[in-house]
Amino acid sequence: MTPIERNGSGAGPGAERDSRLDRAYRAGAGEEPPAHLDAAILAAARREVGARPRAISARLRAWRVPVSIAAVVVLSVSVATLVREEGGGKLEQSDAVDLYSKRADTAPSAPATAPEPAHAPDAAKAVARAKLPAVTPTARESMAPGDTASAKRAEAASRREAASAARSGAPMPQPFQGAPAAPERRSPVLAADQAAGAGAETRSFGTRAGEANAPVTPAETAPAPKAAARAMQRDRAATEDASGSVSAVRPPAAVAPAEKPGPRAESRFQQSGPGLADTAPVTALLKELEPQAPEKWLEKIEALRREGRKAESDELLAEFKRRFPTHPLPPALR
Amino acid sequence: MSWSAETSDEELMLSYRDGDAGAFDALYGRHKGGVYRYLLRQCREAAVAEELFQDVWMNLVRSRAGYTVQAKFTTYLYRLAHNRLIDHYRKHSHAAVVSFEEVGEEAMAEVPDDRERPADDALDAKRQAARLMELIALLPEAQREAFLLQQEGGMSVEEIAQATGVTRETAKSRLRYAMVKLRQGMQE
Repeated sequence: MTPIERNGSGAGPGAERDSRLDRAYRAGAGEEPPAHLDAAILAAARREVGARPRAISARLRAWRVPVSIAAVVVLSVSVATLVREEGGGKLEQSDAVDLYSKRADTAPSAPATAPEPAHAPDAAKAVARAKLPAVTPTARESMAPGDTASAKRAEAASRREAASAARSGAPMPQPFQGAPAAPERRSPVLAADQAAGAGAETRSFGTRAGEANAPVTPAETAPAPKAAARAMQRDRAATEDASGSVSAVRPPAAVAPAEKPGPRAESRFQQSGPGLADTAPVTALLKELEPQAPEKWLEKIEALRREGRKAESDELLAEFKRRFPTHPLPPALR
Repeated sequence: MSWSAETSDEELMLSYRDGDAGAFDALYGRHKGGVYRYLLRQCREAAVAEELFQDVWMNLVRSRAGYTVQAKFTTYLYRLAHNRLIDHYRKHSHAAVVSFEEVGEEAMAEVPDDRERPADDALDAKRQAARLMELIALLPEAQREAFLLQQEGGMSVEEIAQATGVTRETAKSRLRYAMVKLRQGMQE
């Protein structure tokens, strides 16, 4: 072999190689980079590859299984919860009817702590809420001493009532979300407003304690009673022509915000005070019916209707719905 | 994934570009010695050579996303090494940069072509290697680079020209001149 060789790449005469030089060079060229340098470079190369954002399809592929599992779990839990709630709701309703019947028989004088029926539509509820001024602690403190004392008495009575209901095994009356701090000084207009506003917010009677504060869904909300609409009209009229009259316009200090939790309001017919004279016949009827079973109430309401006393019958029906929200109504009264 | 010896450098680099770190390992294993020796012979200091060596590979790693096969991988790799070396020369001394200037073809005429001279078999391989290394160190940078690229990178004249950014004729003359000098030195 000659010392000069072509490299065979067709590079021309300039690409010649000297085999003797090649051999000598190979013999003396044994240096390698240090191992730590190798490790550093290879690690950096791997880091660079790992830090590189992967393609979207690769990322989706990686998440496909976990997302599928999560979706299945969520769906299963949702369906199971829905099924259980629907079944429980039916049972609960029938239980509540039985319970009312028993209560009416055994403890006729027990105060009806039925919640506000969910009668008010959303629009009426919104109007009622908008009319309720927010009461700050300062406003509450500024109440008259008599008001404060009566509020305290009302709270104490409410607590006693709750305690006795708990002892007797009856369902606990639920806290009234929109209850005023001093309900004794409310005007009927205010009471109607609050009944309309708060009735849709609470659903307590006949429900388990854990479900008492569940929000009322629109499906559960019944059509608005005429009483609520009338109350709104009265309120508007009173506001317009009262011109500062404290008795006509509700005192801000006496009204708690609708969102403020407080003791449950008593029935508007159980309250006394100025402006309640027009409800006197109904109040008398209520006193008469209070210890009676729901069936008696319905009979009385129907009788009033037959006699043409529609306003009283409506008031009584509204009160009935408030007290016995789960009691089935005859078709004529629906 | 394991890579066979038949897998080309370009395929390995493309695989690394697409996220296969194992391809880089194979590529590094093939070329680390050549690049290191190329830098070591050029700058003559191990510490500097190591720094430059690391920079070259890190540049390769960083530029992998834009890698496309436009030439042999070795050409691409040694081009990175050459550029890093020039930067180093510029930073530390102008002398080397000056020596990279063109060598006139007339210089070639002064060097006798002794390629037909028989090899001196009296020197053993080790002594020949040591002597050759001394001669290589005495070469001007441009000529030395051409010779090292041929030896370490296995490059042809065209590839040397591409890697160093000169014309084919320039690369050819540098290489020939280097070899003539080395042969002369080995004969002495």
